[in-house]
Amino acid sequence: MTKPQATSRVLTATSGHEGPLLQVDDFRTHFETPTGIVKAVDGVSFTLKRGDTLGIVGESGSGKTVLARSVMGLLTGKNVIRSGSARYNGTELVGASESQLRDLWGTEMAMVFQDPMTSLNPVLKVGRQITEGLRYHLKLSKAEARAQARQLLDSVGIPDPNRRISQYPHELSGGMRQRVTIAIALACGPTLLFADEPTTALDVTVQAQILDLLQRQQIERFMAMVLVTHDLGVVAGRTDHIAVMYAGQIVEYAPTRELFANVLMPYTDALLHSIPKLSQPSHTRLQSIGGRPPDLINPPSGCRFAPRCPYVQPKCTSEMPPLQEAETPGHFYRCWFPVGTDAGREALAQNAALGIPAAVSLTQTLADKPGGTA
Amino acid sequence: MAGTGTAHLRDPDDVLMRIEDLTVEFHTSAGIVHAVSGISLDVRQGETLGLVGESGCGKSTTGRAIMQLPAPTSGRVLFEGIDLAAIDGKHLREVRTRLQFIFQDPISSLNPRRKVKDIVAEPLRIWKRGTEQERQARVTEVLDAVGLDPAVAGDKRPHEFSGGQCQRISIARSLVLEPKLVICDEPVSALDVSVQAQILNLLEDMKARYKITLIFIAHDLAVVKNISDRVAVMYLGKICEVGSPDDLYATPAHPYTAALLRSIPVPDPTVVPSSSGLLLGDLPSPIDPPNGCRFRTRCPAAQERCALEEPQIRAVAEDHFVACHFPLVGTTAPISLPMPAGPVSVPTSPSSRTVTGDEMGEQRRMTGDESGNNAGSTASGSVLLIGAGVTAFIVCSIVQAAGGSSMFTMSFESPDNFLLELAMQVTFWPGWLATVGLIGAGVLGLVDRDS
Ligand SMILES: Nc1ncnc2c1ncn2[C@@H]1O[C@H](COP(=O)(O)OP(=O)(O)OP(=O)(O)O)[C@@H](O)[C@H]1O
Ligand SMILES: Nc1ncnc2c1ncn2[C@@H]1O[C@H](COP(=O)(O)OP(=O)(O)O)[C@@H](O)[C@H]1O
Ligand code: SF4
Ligand code: SF4
Ligand SMILES: [Mg+2]
Ligand SMILES: [Mg+2]
Repeated sequence: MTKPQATSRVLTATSGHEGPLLQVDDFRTHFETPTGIVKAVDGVSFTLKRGDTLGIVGESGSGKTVLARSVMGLLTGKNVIRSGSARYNGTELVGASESQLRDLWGTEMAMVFQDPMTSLNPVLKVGRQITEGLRYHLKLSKAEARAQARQLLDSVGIPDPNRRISQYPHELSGGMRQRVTIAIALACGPTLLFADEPTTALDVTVQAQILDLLQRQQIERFMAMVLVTHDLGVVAGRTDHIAVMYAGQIVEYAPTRELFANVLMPYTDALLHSIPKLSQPSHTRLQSIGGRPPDLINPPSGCRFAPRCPYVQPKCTSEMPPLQEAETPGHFYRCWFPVGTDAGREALAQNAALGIPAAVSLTQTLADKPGGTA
Repeated sequence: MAGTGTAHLRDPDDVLMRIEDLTVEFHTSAGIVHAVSGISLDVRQGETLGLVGESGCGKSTTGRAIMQLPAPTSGRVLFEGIDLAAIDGKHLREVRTRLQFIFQDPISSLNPRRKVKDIVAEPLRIWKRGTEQERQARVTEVLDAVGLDPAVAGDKRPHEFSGGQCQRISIARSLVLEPKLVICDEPVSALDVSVQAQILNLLEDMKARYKITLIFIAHDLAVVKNISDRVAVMYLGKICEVGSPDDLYATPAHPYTAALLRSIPVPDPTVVPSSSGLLLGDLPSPIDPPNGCRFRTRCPAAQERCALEEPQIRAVAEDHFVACHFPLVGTTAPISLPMPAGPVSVPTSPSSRTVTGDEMGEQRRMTGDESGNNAGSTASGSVLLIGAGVTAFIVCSIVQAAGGSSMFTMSFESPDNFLLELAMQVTFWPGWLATVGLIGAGVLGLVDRDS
């Protein structure tokens, strides 16, 4: 595509720091609630460098949103307990003061939310919402900010920006509102963009437009992007790495192609088998995952996926598997009996022989499909 | 006429439910919302009809209009041959016991204060079916069928269950009265993929066990393909395309279906998402829908004619129907064929070639065969080429001979001398060229192989 467009004054890169732009280490975010402590994010580590996109996938409640907001420092409730480390460009974010964070929001890191209507102020005109950040952070004059806002609206594909700039959010369609929130997020030239399910509330044709827009902006501005979604399809074609989350933990992390080619974690494998695919003929029996994700107040002590896993062995319920690196460098997984390995095959065969339903049906699915994993 | 035609409807004696020219309008302060505008659909006993389209295209409105909730502005809903709009309230309530509805939001559609077994038994009580004991037995049976333990689940209340389990309860409740037709409005859209698979599998099992017929409404094309026997694609209150899922997804004929399919992100990193062919802009307002073809403001293939004249539904292949002046079917085929079965089509560019059902089949088999490279398949390819040539010959002869004969025009939506004339002109040269070309190519293929 196009090369980084370093013309605008808002695009000056903050640098000087060597190493990854974002480094997250054993990061935790727990919530104190009347019924106990909700371990929403429980020991997550990853790094992200400029120009790269990390996809975070997982089912609802797996902790994706909490992770993204907590790293940015947006969770400020009294019941929030953050620990571990999250460094942006060398600056520790855990424990940073609100004013320190305020200096980073917008100019260094920004977020696009799932529901554009809730992140836009309904009583302010679109233009005002964009210029606010420009005037506060970049100290632009009113006229400069307005010109910049018009240019931003144009760059996120809003036709007739001159008219749109003086409209209210409710006068725009869902897709256009999400374009406006993207314009706001990009206004002050952040280097790190979090997009939390940016297209979940949108129609599939508009989703494709918005994903394209995000990708184009990311390349042009040489940003790092964290794309949070529950849809493996969305991350497959648009990320460099994928982290799969389950019950507050990363259970598999790998370069995107590697992940899809050599799934190691039974949970990732199960997710892939449970989605209906356009390439399958109609009435293809889906491989469902029985049960549901665990309670995050008292998660299982061993592997958190054990109660639903077709490969489960006694060891799984007693010892939590660590996130370890596979033979392929850069591919991490959290499992004692990984898919596609001898240990995994043996575990699955054993469970199938015992008549454990999940194992029996998975074995059948794999037998029907010679190309399947395991 | 505002309707998009009825060519895709089947013999009324053969179907469980048939809607004809259904229109639903809502009067709002901003104007009249044209939510559903003259659509026709039918569903056979035991079939699953998938209804797919973007938000606001009128899927739910159609589903609710079938239930007469609210009754449509115009058009007929025939269920088991009875026009639901024409019967009185008492009769309608009775018919509705055989016609059930499952909602998208599983949790809020269940009464939070009642126990699960009472929620499921409620329709039986209202209709005073069986004795208390028989009712309990029935509730136990359906709860068990949907995968809930009746002894444990029966005494709990909805909030103690997850979304997926609540959807199982809704399904159990919809089944107790032994309905004929169940309309599911986005039954899995609020669920996670793993739970979605459980519910889709469950619906298939229930269909087999209780011999029910389903209308399955969803915006996810892959989900609809998985569960349906027939799919109808909607756009802005109109039907675009109807067909068997395998056909419709493999060779979409309507530019909108094709664009929808291209927009779906596939869970395969080797497929690089391409921004070419994506739809631009948003859905127009249903208060002031575009005239002519409602898709024309976003259609990459739109021509002048699309604004002037609304396309009527017609066949492009066996059990494959489309409402478009310039359908896409045939673009993947190697050879252009004339369009005999629909005088309303004017091929204008190579991208709008149209073929008949038989030829479609031929062409698909041909393309399939070409990918294999053993001698046998080349031979059958050549034979098929010749076959297609002969078909083209016959078709052209018929069209030319038809010149106004009423038998020929009878099968079309709007017989019109001008259009037939046009069809004759259009099929004449390409038709004979195709005949010669196909037979020639076939013979060459055979000669080639022999040498
Ligand atoms: N009671 C109503 N009053 C006014 N307009 C309505 C009403 N119900 C539906 N509409 C409008 O009718 C159109 C079709 O709505 P409908 O709910 O059938 O769409 P849908 O295809 O089910 O969409 P979704 O995928 O979002 O559920 C929309 O424009 C909607 O806003
Ligand atoms: N403010 C809060 N107080 C208590 N629990 C919370 C709070 N916010 C989120 N959670 C819990 O944290 C878990 C993860 O939530 P979330 O990150 O929103 O999931 P996801 O984005 O993956 O769907 C859930 O169990 C959720 O209920
Ligand atoms: S095999 Fe064991 S460790 Fe691996 S995912 Fe299953 S339960 Fe967890
Ligand atoms: S009739 Fe015209 S505008 Fe409508 S779908 Fe066909 S080509 Fe496009
Ligand atoms: Mg979330
Ligand atoms: Mg709806």
